[in-house]
Amino acid sequence: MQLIWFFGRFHVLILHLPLGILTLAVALEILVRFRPFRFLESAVAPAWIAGAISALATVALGLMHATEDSFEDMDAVEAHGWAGVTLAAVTCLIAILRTRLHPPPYPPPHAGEGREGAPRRAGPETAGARLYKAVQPAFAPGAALDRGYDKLWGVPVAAVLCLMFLTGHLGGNLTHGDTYLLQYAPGPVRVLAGLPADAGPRPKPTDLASADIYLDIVQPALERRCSGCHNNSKKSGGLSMATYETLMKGGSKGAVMTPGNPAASDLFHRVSLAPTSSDFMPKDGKTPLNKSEIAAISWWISQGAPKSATVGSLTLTAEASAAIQAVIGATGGAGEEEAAAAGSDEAPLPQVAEADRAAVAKVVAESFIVRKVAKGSNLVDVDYVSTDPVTPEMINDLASFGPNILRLNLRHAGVTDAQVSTIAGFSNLRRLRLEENAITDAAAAYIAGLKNLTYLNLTNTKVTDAGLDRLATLPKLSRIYVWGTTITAAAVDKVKAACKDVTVYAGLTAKDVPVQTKIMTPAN
Amino acid sequence: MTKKIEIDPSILANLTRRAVLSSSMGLGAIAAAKLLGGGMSLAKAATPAGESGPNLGKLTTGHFPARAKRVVDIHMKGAVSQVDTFDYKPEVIKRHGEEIPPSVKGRGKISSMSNGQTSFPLMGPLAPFRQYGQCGRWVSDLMPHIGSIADDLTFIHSIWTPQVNHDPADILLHTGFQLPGRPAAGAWVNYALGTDNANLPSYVVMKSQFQAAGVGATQATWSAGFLPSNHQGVEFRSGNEPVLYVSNPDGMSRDERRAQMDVIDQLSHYQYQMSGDPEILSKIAQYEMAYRMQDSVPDVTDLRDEPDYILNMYGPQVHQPGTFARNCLLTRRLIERGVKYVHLVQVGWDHHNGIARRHPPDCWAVDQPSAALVIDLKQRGLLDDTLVTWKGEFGRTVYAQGGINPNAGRDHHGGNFTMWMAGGGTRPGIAYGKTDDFSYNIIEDPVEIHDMNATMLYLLGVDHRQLTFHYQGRDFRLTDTGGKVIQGIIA
Repeated sequence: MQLIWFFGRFHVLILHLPLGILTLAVALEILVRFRPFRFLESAVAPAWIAGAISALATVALGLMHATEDSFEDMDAVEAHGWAGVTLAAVTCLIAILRTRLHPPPYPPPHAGEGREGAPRRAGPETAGARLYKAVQPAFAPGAALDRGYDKLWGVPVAAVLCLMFLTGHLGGNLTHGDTYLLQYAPGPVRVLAGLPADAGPRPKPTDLASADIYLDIVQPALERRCSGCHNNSKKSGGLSMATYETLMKGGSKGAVMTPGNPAASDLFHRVSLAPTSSDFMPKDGKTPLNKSEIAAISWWISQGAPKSATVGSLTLTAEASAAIQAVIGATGGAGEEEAAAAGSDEAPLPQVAEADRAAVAKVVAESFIVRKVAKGSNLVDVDYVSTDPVTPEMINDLASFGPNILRLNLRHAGVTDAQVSTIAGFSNLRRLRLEENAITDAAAAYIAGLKNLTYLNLTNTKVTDAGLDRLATLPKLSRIYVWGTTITAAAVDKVKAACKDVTVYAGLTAKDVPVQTKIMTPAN
Repeated sequence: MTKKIEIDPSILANLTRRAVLSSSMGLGAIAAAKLLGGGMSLAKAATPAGESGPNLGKLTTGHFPARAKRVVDIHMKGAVSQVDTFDYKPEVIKRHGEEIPPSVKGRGKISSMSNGQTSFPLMGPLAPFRQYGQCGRWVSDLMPHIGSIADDLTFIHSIWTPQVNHDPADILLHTGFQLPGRPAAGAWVNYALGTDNANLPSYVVMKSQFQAAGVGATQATWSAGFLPSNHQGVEFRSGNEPVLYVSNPDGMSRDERRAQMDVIDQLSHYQYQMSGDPEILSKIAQYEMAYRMQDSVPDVTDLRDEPDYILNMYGPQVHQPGTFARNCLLTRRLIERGVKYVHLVQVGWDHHNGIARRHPPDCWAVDQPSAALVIDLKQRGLLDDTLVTWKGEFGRTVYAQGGINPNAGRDHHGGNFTMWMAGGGTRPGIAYGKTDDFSYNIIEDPVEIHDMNATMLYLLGVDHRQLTFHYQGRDFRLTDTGGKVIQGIIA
């Protein structure tokens, strides 16, 4: 059986012979009917004969190939098979009709000469020669068959063309899946073919609730991580993830999905194993699913693995929400697969227009370093690197692309409260370093307007308890550094109690550090 | 400083092949210049990073948003014993003096320094262990200060190296290949991301030593390898003056120095115009950096603005220039000022004999300063985006070298050793990977050297597979052909 399968696989190779030869035969058949191409007449019959032989060989290999049990859709295989057999039959018929036999030359030339010129007696007539003699008149040029074919040639030739397309198409669908051909077809063509008009990329989900859990989250994740091996043509382990249906159908070892129960679903089990496990997917060091993708898939299965449902219509857990958010951010934002993982404690990056180059160049000339936060993002990281104090003009220059600034470092830069009021307009700012500047609670009041701030460094500034109080309520703030200020332990404790999401780093004081003076003696 | 230079095509004949090919013009450009008979602008080559301003590196920005902007790479050259510090094995304490089970030792090759032994007795740790912090990490009494910050640290017990001797292992750890000649991790970072400051080198190296040691630090671990030489780590000397000749001699004012610099600069540009050798641009940049360092280095090393208790935190040796403690304090000051990569090397540790006598002082010399550096970075909000890594080039054997006696030592052990990381987007308070009951084999989540470097680059926002340099006909990278980002230690 193995041997049959081995040969059967050559079907997909050999089939290109009849495709080519028959196309040539059809072309010849048409051309010879025009005067300038008459001279091709003698090539027509050989073309059909070669076509017939290759078609028969292809059919034979195809039948062998079909004995493999790896086909998902046996009906489609059968349809393809019948089309192929019919095509081969019609081709054979034409080959026979088109073959014109001339009367046997009698006596055959040279028949009477032996090798040394000695006369040789003609032997008794062979069976082959008798058969040729019997059928020759029917196939003779100008015989009834020949004349009939001359009249009706268009019918079988058209049939060959149609059958060739049909067989080829059905076969192609078996290999590449039935959505392959028209995947990128223009809308009207798809409509003609009875497919949904727009199967282009789905619009990027804009918010969590309206994202479709399968179409926007799970399917793209499987597409990215799994479908290299689990598609309609490769089907490792008999499993294809090309469509929802094939996924639910499972692989050769049975279903991989148990809707409602992630733990019992082989799909979830395999991707969540330790990467060293032999059952772990994806195999061979291919990029595994990240934590967010796994969490999103787990939640999708727990929700019954619907084919299509908006996230908002299902019961959302906090964990799932964060995971889905991260997946949306990763696929939507910078276009970098791992972008979300690299900033997981922060929400997806906002989209902004590119900063004006002239404005950036001006700031760079003023001793700022301006660097995009990642490839594909227009947000920037800004560091001030001069030892001279910044001027209000410099901060105004920054403001010309304020919404682009994600992280700003103004350590030890002589920043004043008034300058902070300008910085307060940088709406997308997430990290702000203002340590070692003589800023006060007035600056803290301005900073309280930076609603996207997650990190704030106020070490060695003149901000007091009152300032800290104003800042602790910033909605996204998670870290605030106040070492080296006069902020009291009581104020820090108050924030700790009131705002669970904010960590205030007060650092050490002199009494926390015991003084050691004894130096250990080296042993040698 | 950037000048648009017109170069006479006939001069190009004097160029070395490599200089031409590695500058921003290729053969096509040369051919075009010859054909057109005109001059060609090398202004772009003059500042590899872009139009103006500090060098932002080859990539200018990461492949994805960075978690860490800076790296402190602390290396214990000579190899710390993981058995005596961070890899707690009660079974070894219980079985002290017994032979290591053959099933554990296996038949793997061991170093020639102990393979002549007929007996391989287990030797318990030199000091008791205790648990620290919320995470309950077991740490030896030799490292109490590091123990006290266990909640901020990410331990990896399952890193291993195929190398058996110090320099190859050290060079592999830092360059991704065991022979000298490839760029160090810091050089790659410098090449990829340039600098975040204007007045200090972006990549600084400091060496220190507490006891006499058999092995030294090797320059191959901060070399630029085949990268342009300006990416090499800048070595700060131990002593009162970390950078030699950076101060002006008596009688020379800063203005005079500037005037001299301008002339040298002109001459260098003229030389560049003649030869087109990009190394001249490196040199010009280095002169300029040295000039700026005349101001910035004294600012870094002047500790008068440090409160006493901060100095005390780093331990008594902080008052002595050139010690690990002082270097840790300087590291914090460099990191604050935007230095991207600081490489600290403490030489010692290689205790094939007398480990009970010699390991504790080496631990003492690094324990408090290492912990102080992490605490200090944290309270200043810098640990958030500074990755600190702490490790030796391999571990030491759980069995005694030379038998159980007061002069026993431990041999090299590459099969597993312990490193810790802090900050920069790592997940604090966890221990990654497991070793068996004898700290001799990895039983869970092995970490290769390339994995560590891949993870370091990842935290800096760089995809280690995409950071390459074309040399000798192929693209090289820090992680050679390996490297997986260790997702398990990333927060």
